Amino acid sequence: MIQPSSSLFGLGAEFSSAAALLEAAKRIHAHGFRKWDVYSPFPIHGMDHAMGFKRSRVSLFSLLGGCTGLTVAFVLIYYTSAINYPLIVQGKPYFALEPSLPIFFELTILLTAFGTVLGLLLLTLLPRLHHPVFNWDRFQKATDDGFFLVLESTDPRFESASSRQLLEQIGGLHITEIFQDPEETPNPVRQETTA
Amino acid sequence: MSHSPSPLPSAEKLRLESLGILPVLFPLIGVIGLVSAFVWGLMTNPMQLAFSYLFAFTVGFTICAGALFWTLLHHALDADWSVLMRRILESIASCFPVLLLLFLPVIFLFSRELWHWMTTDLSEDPLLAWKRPFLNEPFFYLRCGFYLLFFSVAGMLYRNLSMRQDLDGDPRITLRLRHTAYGFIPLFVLCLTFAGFDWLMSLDHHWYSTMWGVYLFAGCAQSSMAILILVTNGLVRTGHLKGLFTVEHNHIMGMLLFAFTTFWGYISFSQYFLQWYANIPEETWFFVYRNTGSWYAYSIFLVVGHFFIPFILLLTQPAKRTPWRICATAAWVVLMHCVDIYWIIMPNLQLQQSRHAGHAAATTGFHPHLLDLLALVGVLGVLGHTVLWLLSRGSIFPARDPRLRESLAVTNWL
Amino acid sequence: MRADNPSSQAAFAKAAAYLERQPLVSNHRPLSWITQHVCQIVEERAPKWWWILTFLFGGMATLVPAMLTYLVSTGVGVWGLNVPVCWAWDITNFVFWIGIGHAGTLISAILFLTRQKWRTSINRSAEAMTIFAVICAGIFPAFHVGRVWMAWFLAPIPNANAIWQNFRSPLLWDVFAVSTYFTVSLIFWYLGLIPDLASLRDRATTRLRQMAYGLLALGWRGSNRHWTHYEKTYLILAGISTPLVLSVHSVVSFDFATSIVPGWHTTIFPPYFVAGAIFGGFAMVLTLLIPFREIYHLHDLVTDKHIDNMCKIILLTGSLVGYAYSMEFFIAWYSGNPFEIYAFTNRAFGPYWWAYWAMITCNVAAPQLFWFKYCRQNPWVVLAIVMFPNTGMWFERFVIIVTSIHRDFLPSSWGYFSPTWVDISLFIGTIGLFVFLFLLFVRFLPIINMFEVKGITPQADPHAHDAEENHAHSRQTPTHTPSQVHA
Repeated sequence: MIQPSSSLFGLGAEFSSAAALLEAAKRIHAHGFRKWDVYSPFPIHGMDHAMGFKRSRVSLFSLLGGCTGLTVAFVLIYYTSAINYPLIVQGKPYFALEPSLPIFFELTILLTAFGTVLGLLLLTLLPRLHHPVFNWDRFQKATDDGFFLVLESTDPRFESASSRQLLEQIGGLHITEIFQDPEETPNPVRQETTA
Repeated sequence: MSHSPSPLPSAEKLRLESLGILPVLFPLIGVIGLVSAFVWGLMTNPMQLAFSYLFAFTVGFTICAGALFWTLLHHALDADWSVLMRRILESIASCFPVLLLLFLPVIFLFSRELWHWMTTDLSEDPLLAWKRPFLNEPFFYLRCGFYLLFFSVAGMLYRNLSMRQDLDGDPRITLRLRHTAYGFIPLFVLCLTFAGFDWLMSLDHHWYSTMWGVYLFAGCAQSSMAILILVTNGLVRTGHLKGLFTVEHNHIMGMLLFAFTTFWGYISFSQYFLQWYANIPEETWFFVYRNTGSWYAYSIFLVVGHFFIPFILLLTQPAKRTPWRICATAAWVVLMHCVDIYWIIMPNLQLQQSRHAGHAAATTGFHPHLLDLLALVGVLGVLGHTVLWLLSRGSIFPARDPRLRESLAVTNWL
Repeated sequence: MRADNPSSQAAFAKAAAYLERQPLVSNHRPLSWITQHVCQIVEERAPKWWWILTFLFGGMATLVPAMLTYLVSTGVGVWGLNVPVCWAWDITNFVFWIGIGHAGTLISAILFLTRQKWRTSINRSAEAMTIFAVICAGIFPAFHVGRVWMAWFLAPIPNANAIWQNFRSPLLWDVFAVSTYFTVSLIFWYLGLIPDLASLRDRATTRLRQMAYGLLALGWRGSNRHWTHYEKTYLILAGISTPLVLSVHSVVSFDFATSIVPGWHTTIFPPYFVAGAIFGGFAMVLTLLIPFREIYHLHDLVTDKHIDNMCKIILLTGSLVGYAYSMEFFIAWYSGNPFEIYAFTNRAFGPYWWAYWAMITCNVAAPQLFWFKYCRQNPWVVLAIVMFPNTGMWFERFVIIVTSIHRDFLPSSWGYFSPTWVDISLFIGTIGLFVFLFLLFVRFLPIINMFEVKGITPQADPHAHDAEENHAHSRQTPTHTPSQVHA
């Protein structure tokens, strides 16, 4: 009935609630799929575990950013105040830890924030303004109240007919093929698909 | 609540036999520590004993005051997670009558050894003459009595009413305790602040810091949270609170310990830093003395040990969720709290000694004395015994608290 | 037991009912209702009142460039500053505005870390307020330097004089602290906006909206492979914002407390400033939120419980500020230092007594009204009461700054500061700017954090028994979740 296409991105299904989506994700994970994702309007507690994710590595970037910030602050203050142009002000030492701490702290925080956000963008590969899932009209609900699961066609376990059956089994609704080309993706506004 | 499925757990008694030697050890070391300290100290070195004893008393006092703070805060904020551990806090906070008794030797034996202003001639010290309306003996004792009586009444009130709720589960008790907490917290803050001024700051009656009350409070809250972690995990380890206490509780307590570690670092840095920077002689004296000789190394150790080490140890999530790791950190924090109190009090001993010896060249620097240890062990032994005794009198958690179910189900979803 | 007779049973039940937790979103609203209700504020045509207010406050805001142009072209003397009072309204306004911002960060970071789920309805607008307040704050020190075109000297850039900044100076710490605070707050705010911008993008009916919101949303698609990193980022940013917000007002307090000026040099300043900042900030959050809640019918999202909680925070922080006032007074006396004693007597009974007692009335006395439940439950009464902290926190900074320096150590260098029309107009201008920016925000961005509010609704809990039927139970049953969930 459904012919696999070279430009097929994957098979999308909608679920009725966060709980249903979590249950579905557990099943898909158990089936050993690797290239798949769930989409929800808010993060669902327990989903990371259900999808078998390890801890996010964002904190590594934060640590790197923080260390850089501290080093930069130390070098900046020490070099300018104690080496390059030592100047006695208020009878204070050229360099002392006490009055340097505020700037150590602020620069550490600033670069930690930069590192964290950079880490987020690198790990999520954002910004990416377009993506095949947007070709599916129904998917607009993912930022409103829809819960979606998409199996991608590049997964070795993906096989159009059996994957559709699997999605049906686990309670998927409105199962739709998503194509790289927006014209090819069947959208109920334009044509009715039999689910 | 109409559809609540699982029944509430029933009350649980403390099983003393599972605690090993602790029920015997606490009274034993308490009595041995105090008796030997007093006998030996009074015969050989009463001034050393006075300061060692004040040190030990203050450690005990601050931990109990912290427990009272957490109890009051729990009620005032209508918190849920802490219900399961609240009986432990209430028991620690109910030790104040014992502390009141332990304070008697300070009044009758040691006060003139400890507080220089009690023995100074006013004509030699115009500053003291100015402070006389506050720093005079009758008013001082009156204040001390007020603090300890207030803390005793507050601690016992919260424990007794909570125990009464175990019988009938009356939600009105929760409301009553909440409303009382609103009134008690301001009183608590003032009592703790002025107790800190009277007992610790006035050891050197020329020195002053508006931050002092906050500084002491930070140590109280931090050390008593560490004690709570240790007691709770100790009870769990010995088979109590089975199925009730979860890793989430440890996580939350760990976060609070982390928060107050940072808070202590912030407050103590600000206090030190502002006096360092302004460099006004009558203020910096306090820190100059503590940054001289071996006290300097001690101060560095305090900063590193009280702030940086627990900060790093508690930073990650596994550190708060693994029982042995959080317990090790909590034990370290309690130790560092003792180090902190020692750092506040003990330099004054040497100043007193030099005043009495009549010359300025008395010993300075960190000189630990066996009496410090004996007094500390004695006071903590007595308090430990009191806590165990209080805990064994009823259920070890408030079994019929209206918020108990929420406390059991608490999670750390942010 | 005591609950045997009917009357005490009734009291028993009443107390138990009183203890029931209120739901955070009233009336069991479904998820799509939240999206629709929040987004339509941005999507429908701008109402008439919005145009009127925006023009009004926008006009007020033009006072800022006007006064600054006058200041730069004439000289910094157009402000009422003169020896010995060289810091007055400018620095007062700076500390005032920067303090306002702190409530936003407190709500978004500290309440996040302490699992206070009620924060989700108010954090967006509070964070926006933070950004706008910091913008208003930055104007004053930037122009107070006198020759503003030389302000780049504050940045560590090698220059022709071959000297560097004085890193031992609290004023330079301010530069670092405030700019870090602004940057991190902006990042935090924008990060929180991304999923909601995606909602606006997906609902957009015009190409322009779709492009604008689409670009800003970075292509967010709600993927869980993104959420996992997103949540971690949010946690880390909250974690670093918490000490940051404490540090910013602490550094501001260092401007005063590191000096040896009586009345300024006191160790309690850092936490006292932070408590005051949160106090004033929450008052401002309520000032902005209550009218918009009425206008846009947000009662189901910003419930009475939210307002009640914020009133309690105001009561708490107001009392903390009162504690700091009394500690300062007591220690000033206890120190025996005649200059300290004079500084404080002069504050309360000197020529600026009116400012001091205005401060005490507004900051310590007025918030005590929040002990009464009636005062916390009627939004208009709340709005009236929070005007006191709004005013009082301005007076507090004025009292600290001006009364401490208007009488120097020598009576020959005593003076009395009076503001000029430029001082007053510039301050009014920043109020206009602040409200103007907030009105723009209300018009173009979602004022409620939709995705976080959705996340705390009962139907968002995947472990609720009947989540599918959208039965909104206010209380969750104790479900034991895998402990690794959060790890």
